[in-house]
Amino acid sequence: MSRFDFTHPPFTHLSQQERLALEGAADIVFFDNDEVIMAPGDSVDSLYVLIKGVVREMADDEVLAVYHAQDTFDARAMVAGVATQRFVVHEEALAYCLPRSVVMQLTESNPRFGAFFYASVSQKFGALAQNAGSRELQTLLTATVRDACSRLPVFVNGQDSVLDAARIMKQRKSKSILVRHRGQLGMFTTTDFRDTILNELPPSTPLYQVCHFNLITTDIDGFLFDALLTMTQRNIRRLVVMDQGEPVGILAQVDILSYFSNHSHLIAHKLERADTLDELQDIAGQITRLVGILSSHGVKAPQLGRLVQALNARLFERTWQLIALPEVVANSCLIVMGSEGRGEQILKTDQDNALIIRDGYDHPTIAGACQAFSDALARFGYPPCPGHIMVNNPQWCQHEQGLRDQLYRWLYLPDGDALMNLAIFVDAEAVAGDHALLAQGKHYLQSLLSDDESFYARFARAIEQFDTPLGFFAQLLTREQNGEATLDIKKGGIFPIVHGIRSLALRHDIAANNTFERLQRLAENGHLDRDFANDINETLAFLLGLRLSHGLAELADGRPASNLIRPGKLSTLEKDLLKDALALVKKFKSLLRHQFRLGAVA
Amino acid sequence: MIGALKKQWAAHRLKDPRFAMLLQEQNEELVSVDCETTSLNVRDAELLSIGAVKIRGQRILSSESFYVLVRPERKPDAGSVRIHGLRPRDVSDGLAPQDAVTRLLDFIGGRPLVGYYLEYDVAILNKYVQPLTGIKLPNRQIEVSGRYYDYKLRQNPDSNVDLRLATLVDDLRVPALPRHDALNDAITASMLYLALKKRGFG
Repeated sequence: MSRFDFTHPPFTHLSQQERLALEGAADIVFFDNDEVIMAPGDSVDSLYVLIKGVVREMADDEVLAVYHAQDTFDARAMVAGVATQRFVVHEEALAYCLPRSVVMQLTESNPRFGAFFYASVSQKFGALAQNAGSRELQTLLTATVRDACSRLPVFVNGQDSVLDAARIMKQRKSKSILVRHRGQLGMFTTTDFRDTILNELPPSTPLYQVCHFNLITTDIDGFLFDALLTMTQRNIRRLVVMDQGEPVGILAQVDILSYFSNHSHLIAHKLERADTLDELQDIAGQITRLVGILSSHGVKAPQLGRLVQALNARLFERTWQLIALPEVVANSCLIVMGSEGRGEQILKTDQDNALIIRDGYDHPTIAGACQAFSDALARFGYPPCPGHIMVNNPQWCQHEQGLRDQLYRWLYLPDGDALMNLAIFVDAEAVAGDHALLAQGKHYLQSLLSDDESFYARFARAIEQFDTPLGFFAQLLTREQNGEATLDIKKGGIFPIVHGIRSLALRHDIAANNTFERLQRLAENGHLDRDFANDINETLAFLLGLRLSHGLAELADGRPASNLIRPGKLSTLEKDLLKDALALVKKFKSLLRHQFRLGAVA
Repeated sequence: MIGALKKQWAAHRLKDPRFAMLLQEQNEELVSVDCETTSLNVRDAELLSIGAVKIRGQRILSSESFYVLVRPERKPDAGSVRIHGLRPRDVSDGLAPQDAVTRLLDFIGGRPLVGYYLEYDVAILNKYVQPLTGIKLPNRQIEVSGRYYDYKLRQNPDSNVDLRLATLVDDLRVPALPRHDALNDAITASMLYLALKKRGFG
């Protein structure tokens, strides 16, 4: 009979009793269009929760935020007891009015609820992550056999001998094979093999005499959970996966367990065994699905980034090995750069890669292989880089000497893209071939960098390229009813942090590529205040997470993942966090301006 | 003039000075009221629960709401239990009807009443109010469905106005609360009233 909907944060943290108490204390208030609910300086004695309608938060003429049904406002004003912004009704609003005294009492008696109101930037971000945990069980229950089944069945004939079976099992790295015999389907496993030895059967025994024909099957679209149940009930370790009556795979208990514990294990396993580009393409698609699953399990963006980087690196390496001749692979170094090199590209947004060829080595197939590699990646779903930073561009497929010349030109004779190219190269990571080639290139770059402060200033200056900020919200909501507003989270938040940290890392000769790692090293070496570094860390993790969840939603809608987020669709908590995050980006930019004396650069 | 006379007459018939406050009209607040009963026929119907909530300006004071369960003299019939969900055992701890109505009158005082098909609720309540006080509920009554009718007719003079509660809730865009709980229904009527008031039909 509850009138109050408690299924949204922060009220999810309340116990049933606390909810009843809150509901008992709530009034319902009706506000007309354009009515001012609170204005700066007004004393505030309640927290509002919108039941219906739309309310906007204004600072002068600028819209800071938009609140929809279930949103809560304004925690800050309520805690302070006085409003700092103007809250205006955009569309007839009906709201619960929770008295300050009751809410404050709950913040004291319920720490998780209280955290929402008091938390510092870092802690607030944590609360958001905790939320995600509630979806975990659901994923566990809705995963299907298709998601976990990785083992292609190996078929043999019933007349084949046990010895043949042993050979095939070794060759295909398989612990079980399917046996076709007179229209029947049987299975022969390593356990059966052991029994043939124990029973002193000769290796020439035909398989149909020793295999099992009473197979237990599962449908490929059945729930994984049911499959696990069947195995447990029957005390068996494998099921034959059927797709429309045909056996298409074998599902082993270990597959299910690894799916639930560490899905990436499966993908790595498949990568290892893939022999064709088609298989790799399939695996590339699975990486994206894996990201979705892990993200819904509450794995945070930075960790996901590192995991995807590791898988992508293996994928690229395998692809390159399939395409290029072994001697070409041995005499070159395939590198990934930019976000991929930093381990921060979680969804496939672009391919930044290059090839460094050993001085003095050449082969007529190199150009063709590079083209094939770029095409293959495009096929796998990595959109071509708009700046054409790919191995099929001669500028990014050079001998060591050519690379050194280029680095020299970028440093001393910079043209339009030079600094950006340099920035991308600074993040390079080797994925295949002779890794030493990249190390030498980076070493050469480091030797070129002198104590020329003006170079670092020019390098860091790109952070000024895009305006950050809180003012961004100004473009969001127009007075039209459905004008949907977007915000470029990369330009506004992620890029300034990433590039700022990259500049500091280059300036202080820090070899790490990953932004979080760079931050840590900068803090350790005393180049950044420890608390500030923590805040930047949390902020970047939050922004990456936000971009990821938006990107996943876009992919689910069949659109490519973009950097545009729609603040109107964010929850109040996320909006608050975004505002805090952008404020921190602003603060960081002004610190960089000071450190690199950006004001002084012409 | 007539009103004043009626009031004097009522004051004359009032049995108990405790209830004199009913006659002192207080217009700053309204009370939305709803009853759940054993039947829909006024003659046999007995009270099962009463919900009421005050409206002050544009605020529904749900934090000071009134809700009581009432123990009927006869068992509610099975058909009505299906609607309001109050089984005989649920109301067996309820108040005696006279007690419940006395408390309600204290809550209402001289405030005008608001409701959806209020006439029915008032008729039921009067079955108890009259023996207690000697008079029928003297409070001004605001019928939400009537105000809605006026509003729709103003918009579209020749139309047939659908007065079902679900239609009002939908059209006036107030949230749908779980129905057939006396307090929820009273709150729904309050929200409908505020939405109509905003449209000039309060």
